[in-house]
Amino acid sequence: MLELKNVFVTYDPNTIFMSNALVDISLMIKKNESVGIVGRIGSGKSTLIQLFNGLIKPDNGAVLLDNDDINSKQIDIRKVRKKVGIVFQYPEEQFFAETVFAEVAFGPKNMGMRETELKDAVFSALKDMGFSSEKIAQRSPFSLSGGEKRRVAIASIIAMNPDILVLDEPMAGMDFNGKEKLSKYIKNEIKNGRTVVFVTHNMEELLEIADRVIALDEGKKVFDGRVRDFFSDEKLIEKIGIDIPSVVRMRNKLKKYYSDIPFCRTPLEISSYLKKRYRH
Amino acid sequence: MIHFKDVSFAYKEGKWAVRHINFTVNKGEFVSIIGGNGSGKSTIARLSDGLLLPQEGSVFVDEINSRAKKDEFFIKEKVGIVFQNPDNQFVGTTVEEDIAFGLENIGVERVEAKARIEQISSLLGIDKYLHGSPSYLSGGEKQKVAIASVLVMQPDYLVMDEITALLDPVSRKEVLNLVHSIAENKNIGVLYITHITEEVIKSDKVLVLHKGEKIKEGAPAVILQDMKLLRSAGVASLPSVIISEDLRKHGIISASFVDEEDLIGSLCSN
Ligand SMILES: Nc1ncnc2c1ncn2[C@@H]1O[C@H](COP(=O)(O)OP(=O)(O)O)[C@@H](O)[C@H]1O
Ligand SMILES: Nc1ncnc2c1ncn2[C@@H]1O[C@H](COP(=O)(O)OP(=O)(O)O)[C@@H](O)[C@H]1O
Ligand SMILES: [Mg+2]
Ligand SMILES: [Mg+2]
Repeated sequence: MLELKNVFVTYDPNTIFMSNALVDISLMIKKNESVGIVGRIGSGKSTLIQLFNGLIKPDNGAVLLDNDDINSKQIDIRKVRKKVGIVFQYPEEQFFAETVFAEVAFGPKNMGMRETELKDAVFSALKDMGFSSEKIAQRSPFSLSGGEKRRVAIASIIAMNPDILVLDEPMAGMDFNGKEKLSKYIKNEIKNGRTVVFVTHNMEELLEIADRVIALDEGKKVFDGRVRDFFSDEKLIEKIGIDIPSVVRMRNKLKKYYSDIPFCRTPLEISSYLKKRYRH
Repeated sequence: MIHFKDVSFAYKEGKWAVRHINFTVNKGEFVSIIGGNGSGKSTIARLSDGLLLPQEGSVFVDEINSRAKKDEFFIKEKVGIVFQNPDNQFVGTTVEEDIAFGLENIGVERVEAKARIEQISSLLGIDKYLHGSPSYLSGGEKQKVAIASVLVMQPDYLVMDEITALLDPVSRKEVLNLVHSIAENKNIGVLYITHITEEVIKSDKVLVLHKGEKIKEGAPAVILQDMKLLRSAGVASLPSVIISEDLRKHGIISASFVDEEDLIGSLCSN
């Protein structure tokens, strides 16, 4: 379990560039949750997730992992980073290894994983990300398509088997096919018990993957709750620069006429409801 | 007019990145290209201002062939390109310097340059960053700066290669609307490249690209209703169309709707 207690982060304090990136943030992420973090560009999302494994330290407040303050001297930060794996934006831009295997093995190796376990960890992570054939492991990561690269990059974090998988805009720059695949594999991770936290601007993605939403605005937490409750707070949504997804908008309009229409996450959930309705 | 005439291009011999591409973009016209990753969109962007030259066919900008070496600068001035990754486009130490860079290069006077920069950056909502460093901006903010750098050059044509990929939904709409209104008011021809289906709705025409070939060209209303076409090109269909098609198959409605309001209207009227 990950907990933030009254966390503040300020960049460039006492200069004209000073920015209060995070202001008094408290939150808790429990096992097996899928949490979407949303908010405008510059609202503090990337700063927030870098607190989760100690890459950024709070100026005030504490970050607790399983009740231990991760920034205290007694804590081995490597253990924290093994438990909380972060996939940054455009992770494939950091590729360096000659083979997919070496790329994915780098993290766990650094964490001290033994050779014997390493192979299994790498192949199981690749499998999780949809690479069923082991042939991929010997290819150059640079020779892959954009979507494949992204999934290899995520596999390189999954190979460390983190309790919490944190993704900063995992679908950015991907096309429909790529997103569809990746979304399937991320949902599978959640189903298999991994806690997933992801930053997104894409509300369709949020609807499909997340149970819970944390919304930031100018460094403050302005919402923390269920996805459906988030989208029913239209005033808040507008204020923080979020566009209501088409599916939710249509469902809300239909609700005026079809008062028993449930909350829908996909277009086909809407049409299924309507089909049932018209059958009667 | 930007005119692609039977254009083919290969980065490596024998492997066409785009093949037999034909289309035109007139001044004041908004033309979208939609397609999945690797379909050849960025290649077309690079061909449109002579950054790449076709092995077969020709690209003309206001009748000038992009192969004409002596007119290289003519074409580069006429066609402004914004790419998907703004990080590759920075040169200055402040945002203002960055936007001014191109203007200095073509010898625009300081006063004039300043006026243009101020106007465009307030239009894009980045005036507050002008004196800061571009490296501290987030991706979306950087992209707005990149767009401003091109707009201040006052090109006749704008080629935008997935420029909203890094923007949040609201700034994405803002930027897209801005590009639309600039195209209209300043009579600029826009070639708008995207893989996001909603973004092509207001175009004058849409080209669908798949594996380097143009598989369809038409009005957005026609293209967007064709779910099969879009799926084969690896792009999403609009939720309104997905719902309509499902209901139509079951005889609940009789037509497919691109516009959400039209769909809701037809479902809430009987
Ligand atoms: N390394 C940094 N130095 C100075 N300011 C920064 C740095 N990183 C982020 N910021 C500022 O902190 C705020 C929050 O940024 P960030 O966490 O990246 O937001 P988001 O991920 O939501 O776009 C922004 O105003 C940003 O400009
Ligand atoms: N610099 C390059 N060198 C070799 N091949 C390239 C290069 N850029 C793109 N390609 C190839 O050309 C094809 C079209 O790519 P691109 O135009 O970038 O597509 P899109 O922008 O639609 O994703 C792809 O098969 C891609 O791998
Ligand atoms: Mg960010
Ligand atoms: Mg491209």
